[in-house]
Amino acid sequence: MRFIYDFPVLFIAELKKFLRWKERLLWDLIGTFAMFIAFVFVWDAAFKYGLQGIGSLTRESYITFILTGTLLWEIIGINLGPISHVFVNEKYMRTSVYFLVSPASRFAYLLAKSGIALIQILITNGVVLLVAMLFFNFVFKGSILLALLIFALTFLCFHALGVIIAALGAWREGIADFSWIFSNVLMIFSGVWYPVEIFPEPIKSFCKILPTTQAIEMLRAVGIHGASFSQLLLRFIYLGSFAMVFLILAYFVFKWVEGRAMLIGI
Amino acid sequence: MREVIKVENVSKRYRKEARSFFEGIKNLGRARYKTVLHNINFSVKRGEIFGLLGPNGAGKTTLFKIICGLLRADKGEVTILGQKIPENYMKIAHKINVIFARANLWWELKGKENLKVYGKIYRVKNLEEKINWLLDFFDLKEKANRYTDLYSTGEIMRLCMAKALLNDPELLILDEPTLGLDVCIALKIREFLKDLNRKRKTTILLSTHYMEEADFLCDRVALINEGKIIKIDSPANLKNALRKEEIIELRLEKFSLSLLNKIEKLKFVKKAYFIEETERVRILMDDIENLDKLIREIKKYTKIRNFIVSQPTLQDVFIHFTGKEISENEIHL
Repeated sequence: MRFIYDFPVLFIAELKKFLRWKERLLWDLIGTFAMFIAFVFVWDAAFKYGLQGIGSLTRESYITFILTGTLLWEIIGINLGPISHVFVNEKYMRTSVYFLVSPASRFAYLLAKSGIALIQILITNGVVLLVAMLFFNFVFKGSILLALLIFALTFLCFHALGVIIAALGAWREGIADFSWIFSNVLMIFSGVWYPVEIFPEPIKSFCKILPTTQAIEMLRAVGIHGASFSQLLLRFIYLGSFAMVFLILAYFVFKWVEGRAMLIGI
Repeated sequence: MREVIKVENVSKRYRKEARSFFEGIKNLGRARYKTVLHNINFSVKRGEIFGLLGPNGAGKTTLFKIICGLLRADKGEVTILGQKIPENYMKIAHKINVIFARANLWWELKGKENLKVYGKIYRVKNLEEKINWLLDFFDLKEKANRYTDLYSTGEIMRLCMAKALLNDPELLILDEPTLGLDVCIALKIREFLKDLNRKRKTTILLSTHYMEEADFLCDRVALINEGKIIKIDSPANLKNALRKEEIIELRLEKFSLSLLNKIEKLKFVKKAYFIEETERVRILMDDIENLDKLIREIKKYTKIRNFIVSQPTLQDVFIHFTGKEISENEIHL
């Protein structure tokens, strides 16, 4: 009951807090576009100079290839970076103290912050997608519903991971550095804008076990080859398991951190 | 239910953090603790204003955090409005409100927006009307639509005060409520708290540095030092305990710390300290008979400009019981 009442209040408050610095939406959009356009130029040039294709990256599919990576990376990047930062910031600025002594629903508070991450992702991805459809001849062969399912699973998986990082982080700078390094390592080895086939064999095996690689390759399989749910079942189970484990872990880490805070302070 | 707060045998210790990585490795497996609260016992009755007086690091904020369910005591029990804390804190959270000295409202929201969010969380009726009244009372109406991070320290404290009064709490917990405020606003807030307590029977638990604040507001005061409660009584009774001591105040032509040390070393002087505001040396003595000896001793070093025999204050009481003074310039964190 408390959750139903508190969620809209806290969600609107979070939205206002987010809009205080609305420029960051523009910077995020510019950053996402810059990576998309840069790799469009790179692969366009490579195909012009005789590249035959690597894995699912071909002359016909490279726009879809780059765009799917860009859209999923937006979800992963926002959850590992700004969202984990937002939680730590509240601890650091001691604004959480007044919240914690109030009768507000803690779950509504967490979900309101998650809702803002989702809105930021929807806006950025929506604009990028629209531009790609209008100016880059973007073709998506598979089911949109399946793509949305992949987006949702990736969001859950990496939102939980972002919350774990935020819960364990004690200070803002530490979290910013850690999430920056962590997300960059993931970005390099997940084939966001290039196929993982370019790596030597041992690194390729490492790339393949990353949930980021799995999510991106699933979306590419749907968008480029029109793969069905049954064809991707094993990969869905793999990504779903990661999402489940990270969500359970996030719950227990939060409980542990809460218990620790009750002993040593926030 | 007469007791709003009941604190029984509460003790708390913190693990000492290593100052460096190498110290951490050296002390691996050997946890070191610092006890911050020793067996604290007190209760606050309905409609009472109860003050905690103590220097920096005495354990006041830790005690407040335990009372507000933000920390768990290692030993003992805390009951607020008949509910065990922290287990049942959420059952009574809407009946209490809090100000912490270093806690902040949401910086990215405007002053009025902060009040609106908290007002809705506390389910305040006639919220708009209430917010306007509070903004007006705390002289924040013109700044209501400014972002909170643009507020001055005093304005933030006033906004926190407005937030604390949103839900007409049965219990108001105030950690340094007038810290950093100018004299006029501080006086206005003290009057308001007294009035609130008188009219609505709001129970108030507060910690303060300002002796005159504790004296003016509190029905009872607990003196807390190094995590222990030394004495609990009304300000008047505490001061009466010192009636048999003689307190004099001197204004000296030249003051120095070495002179203060020399005065303190005299066997008939219990304690001497310098008051910055009045630029006087305040001396607690056993017996007025020794006054001429004291004056002769001081005259060896400097001239005495003037001299008054003073009444005991809570500062004197604290010094009497602990041998320490509470500096009003300290900022308790």
